[in-house]
Amino acid sequence: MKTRITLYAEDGRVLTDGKHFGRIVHLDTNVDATAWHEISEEEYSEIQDRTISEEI
Amino acid sequence: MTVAEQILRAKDDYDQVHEAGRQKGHLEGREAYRSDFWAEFQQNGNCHNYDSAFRGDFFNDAIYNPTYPIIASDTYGASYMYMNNKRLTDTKVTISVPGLGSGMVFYQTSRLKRIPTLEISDKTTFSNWFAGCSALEEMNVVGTIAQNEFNVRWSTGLSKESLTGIIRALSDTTTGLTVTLSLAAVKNAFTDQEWDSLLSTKTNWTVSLI
Repeated sequence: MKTRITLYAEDGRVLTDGKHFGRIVHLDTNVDATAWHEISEEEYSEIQDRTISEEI
Repeated sequence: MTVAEQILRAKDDYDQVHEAGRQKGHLEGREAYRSDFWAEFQQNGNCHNYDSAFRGDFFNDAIYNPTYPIIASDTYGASYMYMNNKRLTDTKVTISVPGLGSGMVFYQTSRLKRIPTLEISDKTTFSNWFAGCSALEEMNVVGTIAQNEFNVRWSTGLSKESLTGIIRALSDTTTGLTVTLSLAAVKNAFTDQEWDSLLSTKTNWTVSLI
């Protein structure tokens, strides 16, 4: 049985796989962690603002 | 009591009875009108397309009183249903969205606290359904979440029962999908042990907390 991996973002950072975001990410046991990387809070905020303005 | 006093008293009694009757009639009339409105609006329960039905700020808690469950079963039938309504606090009835394609259903409903029951199916897609739902506290999810983009990260006050319901609704058979929850809501609702125990039931999902 595979063990679930949990990723924790450093303070002031956010984890992303390009589509989803998290400060704590409990990974599906069938995926690996390489798709996830850290970005800064500022980058995260910019992405969120841009997404909202595109939707509206 | 003089005859004049008796006449005055009778008039007072008449006025009181008349006013009571007027108020009763007014309330009954208003209730009948409201009932007729919702029966017509929901096509006596046969309406299945609620695209943009409660969008914007027209409906508030006082005048929003659906008679029937809201079953938006058409493709895209729930799109923008409550989008940008910043007055409603409660959907009051079951919301059923079994079909494909509906997006932004509760988008920016910033005062919405309660969705008593949200019925979904494994085909239901969740594109930006809950973006900006910052007041949401109670949402009972019934059915199976088997698509990507179920994201309630804005709902920092979501209850333990609601969060538990979301995790339990995650499909047992899909892989490679992600659900996003509010880190603050999870921390407020669960001990670490409780959370780990709940998560262990759905190791086929990525659960992202932010």
